[in-house]
This record gives sequence, C-alpha cells and structure tokens, in this order.
Amino acid sequence: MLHAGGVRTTMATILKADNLEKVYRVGKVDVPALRGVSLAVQEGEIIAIMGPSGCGKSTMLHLLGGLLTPTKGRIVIGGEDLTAASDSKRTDIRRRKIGFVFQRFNLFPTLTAEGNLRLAERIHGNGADDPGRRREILGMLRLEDKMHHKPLELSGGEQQRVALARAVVNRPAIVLADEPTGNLDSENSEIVLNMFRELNDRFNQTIVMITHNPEAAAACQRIIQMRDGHIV
Amino acid sequence: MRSAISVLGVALGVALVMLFTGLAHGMSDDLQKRSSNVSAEIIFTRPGSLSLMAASVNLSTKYVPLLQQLDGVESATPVIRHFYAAGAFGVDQVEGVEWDGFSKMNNLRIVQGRAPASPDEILIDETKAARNHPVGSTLKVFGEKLYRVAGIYAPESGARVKMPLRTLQDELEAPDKCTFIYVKVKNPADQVAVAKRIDETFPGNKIQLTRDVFVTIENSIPGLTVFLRVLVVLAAIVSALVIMLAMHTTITERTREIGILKAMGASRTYIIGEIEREALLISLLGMLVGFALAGIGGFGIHKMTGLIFEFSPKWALTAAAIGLLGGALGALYPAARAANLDPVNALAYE
Repeated sequence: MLHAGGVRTTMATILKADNLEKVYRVGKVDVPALRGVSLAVQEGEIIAIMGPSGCGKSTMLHLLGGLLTPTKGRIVIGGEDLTAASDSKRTDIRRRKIGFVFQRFNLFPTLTAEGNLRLAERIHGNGADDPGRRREILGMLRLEDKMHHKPLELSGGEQQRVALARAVVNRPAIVLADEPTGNLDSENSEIVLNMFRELNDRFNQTIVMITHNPEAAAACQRIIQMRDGHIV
Repeated sequence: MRSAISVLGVALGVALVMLFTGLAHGMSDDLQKRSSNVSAEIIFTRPGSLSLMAASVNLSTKYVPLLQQLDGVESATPVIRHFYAAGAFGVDQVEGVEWDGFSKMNNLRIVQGRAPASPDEILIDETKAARNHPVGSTLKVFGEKLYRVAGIYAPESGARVKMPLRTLQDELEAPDKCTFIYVKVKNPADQVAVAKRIDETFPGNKIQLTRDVFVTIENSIPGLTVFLRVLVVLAAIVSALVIMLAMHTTITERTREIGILKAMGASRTYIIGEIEREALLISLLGMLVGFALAGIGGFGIHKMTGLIFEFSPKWALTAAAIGLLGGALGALYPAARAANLDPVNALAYE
C-alpha cells in the first residue's frame, strides 16, 4: 500500500468483524438481516461491498460504524471493541475513528462548505479548529474556490466532495461510504471516485464503501459480495 | 418563520408580565401621588359610602358648619366624588368642590385660566390638560353634556376634574348632599384626638384618617398581589409552552440533521447543548422584543386611555428570568428527545 509520499507500509488490521448477526423485529416477526458475517479490513485498504437490495449491505455498514448494535458477534475497530461499548462510548469511538459519507450528501444546508467541516471539527472536540487542514482537504478535493458556498450553491458532485472532506477532516481511522456515487451522474461519479483514490494514496485512508456501481467497485482493491445476509 | 413565531411567543409572555405589573404599579403610584397632595387629616363620611371605585352622595352638607365649630378643627370642606364610564374601556371620576375652601385647604392654585364662574365650567389638572384639553376646550364629564375647561390647577390632587359642588349636586339631583367632608385640624399632632371628638359628637358616621385611607392600590384591593403573581406564573407557562412547541417542531423538522450529527459522533450532551443554545437565543431575542412591545404597548395604551404604566427594574428582571428560564426549560424535553433519537431511523427520516 502507498502511504503519503509513495512509501509502502506494512498493513495492520484496522477493523475486524466476527460472526455478525443482526435480527430486526418487525411487529411480531424476526427478520434476519445479517447471518454470521466476518470481515477484516487492513489499514489503507479500499473495499467495495456489493450485492442486491436487501442483502444486508447497509445494515453491515451501520454496524461497522456503531450506528446499530449487532444481535450477535463482535466488532473491533482500531483495537476498541465496539460491541462491548456503551452507547456513549460507541458515540465516542465513532467521533474519533469513523467518518461517514452518505448517498444523499447530508450536508447542513445553512452552513458553507467550510462551515460543514468546522462543525465536524467542533464535534470532534479537543479544541480542534484547523483552518490549514480544512484548506488542505478542500484544496485536494478541488474545492478551494467553493469554501464559502452553501450546499445549494454547489453541484451534486461538489456537494459529495464536501461531504467527503467533512468525513476525513478529523483524520478518522476509517471512512464508511454508503453508495457515495448513487446520486451522481457518471462524470461526477468519476470525479468523486478519483477523490477517494487520492485520499487513499496521499493519506493512506482506509475506505469501505457500499456501491451498486461496477466502475466504483473496480476502483477498489477488494470487492465483497453479499447475498441474503451472507458474504459470498 | 418558525423562529420568528417563537420569538414572538416569548415576547408575548415578557410583555404581559411587564404590562400588567407596570399598570398596577403605575396606577397605584399615581393614586398615591394625587392623594399625597390632600392636606386634610380627616375624612368624615357615611359608613360604606366611599370605596376605591364607587361613591355615594348621601352625606348632608349641614355637617360642614357643625364640624368647623368643633374644638381643634381649622376648616372643613364638602366633596362629592362621582365615578362615570369613560371611553370604551374605563371608569373616570369627577369631584364637586367649593373651589375657594377646597383649594385653600389643600394648597391648590390655578396655573392657567380661572375658577369656574358658571355651572357648565370645570377645572382640570395638568396631566388631564396635557392630553389635548387646553383652557377653553370642552369635555364630556358624564353623559353627553359638554363642560368648558375654565382653568388648569396644580398640583394634582384627587380626581383630575373638579366642578362646582352645586353643579354636581344638581346633576345628581342631590341637593345639600356630598360624599365626604375633608377636615383640616389646627395641629396635625392632634388629629387622632380630633377624630375621636368628631366621632363622639356625630355618632353613626365614619371618621377616617387620610393617612390610613391613601394606601397603595395593591393593599386596597384584596388579592391583587396574588393575582399579579398568578399572572406572572401563567406568562412563564405560556413562554415555556411556546418554546417547547417551537423546539418540538424544530426537532421534527431537523430529525435528519440530528441523525447526521449522531453519525458524526455528536454526543447527547452536544445535541442538548446545541438545542438549548438555540432556545436561549430565541428567548433572549424574545425578551428584548417583549420589553420593546411592553414599552410601545404601555405608551399606546396611555395615549388612548390615560392609564399610567410604571415599569420597575424588579419586574423587568422577573420578566427577563421568565423569558430565559421558560425558554431553557421548555426546550429541555425536546432536546432530550432529540438526543435519544435512533441515528439510523433519524437518517432515514424524510
């Protein structure tokens, strides 16, 4: 794997999921979404998770990000057991180690591009307010001239790049992306995928993305196929 | 828009507290000020014929010369106090007096114009005159009959409008009657002894010392203080409910944004803090708008009705506390609810 500056590094396991099961209760019926999924993600990897709708991809991503708790199984991220953690501890781990990118961008419409990044820094805490870092990230994502624009003044591709910048501004251990090109045309999809690759190249950023897009999957180092709650 | 409505809701609560308490204090102080210019030490009247908002004309003026003959009495002057409906909202009062004796006893003087010379002339005080009633203008004192302002007197004392006693007796068809008689004693230190002497000489009447009669409105009306406190509590509840409703709507509208915040790792404390900060900002703006509304409202009502408002720092602080605390507490439940939202459901919220 290439680190910033092109130096190869030894890969370590950044995320490990063991025998994950998730059962939703719908009325009086138990609906299994994951049926014993195990996964290990190495530091600096880009992984695509593919599969038909309803196969458990989003549930998997939400479990890995600590937004849901598994019915059974264990998730360890950066040495911290997510499944054994309390709700507030899980929030803390998410704040420190995980960055999310969503299909619908999910930017705050009243904040500028830079404001959205500053919000992420504020939530991250530790008095983080690093204009240099914000400029670096926005610059790398070709958004220097859009820093003071609000989301509605940006194209879909630009909004998704801002969302990506927001996800990585606090240097998370892993970025979890839920169909990041799902709302973009092919040209903007290509731009956003290039940004993912560049982040990976320059900062050794670990990325796990759900996608239906074969071109996006092709840009990843590893593709995980899911079906009926299993990795196949 | 939603925030503006919330600000107005808080402003309403603050303005209500300010206006109600301001009105009570203003009217009380005005009454006290006018009462303090009465020099007579004793009021001689019939039992039950004089109260804060009503008066009877059932005391014979034959007592006036009899009182003047009593030992220790310097002078006595009869007064009719009459209440009448004024304008669309309120009640006003007029006093019928024998101007020479009344003004001499209470050290009143005519600052403009002259004393009434005919039955259709009246005197008014400077506050009444300032409300567009110059000398020579006419006033409807009761009914539709017009009275001409013959002069303006000072300082203000009792009812703002004075007319000749005889005129008021004729209007009320109460010849040789009055509501009460002011008695001035030769030595104020003897007022209690003189009052006792009057009581012994003319039993069955009511003798009051003016110093005991002219207490504040708050003390005159039973339960007014409690009423004001209840009003303040209601205003606080209204403010808190408005904020709570506004914040509840805010959170429903921003469910998705709260989901994003949670996905970004925002803690419960952070989310509650953000919502509380917004609520406090709304409350602060509402408080300022409320003070402005109270000022404008008080001025407008005074101009329209003559009611006097006196805003006290103590009640301003109370109103500010109600606005801010009402907002902070009102937002607490919606904030806690937002902090406990399930992030996945919140993110899926449309």
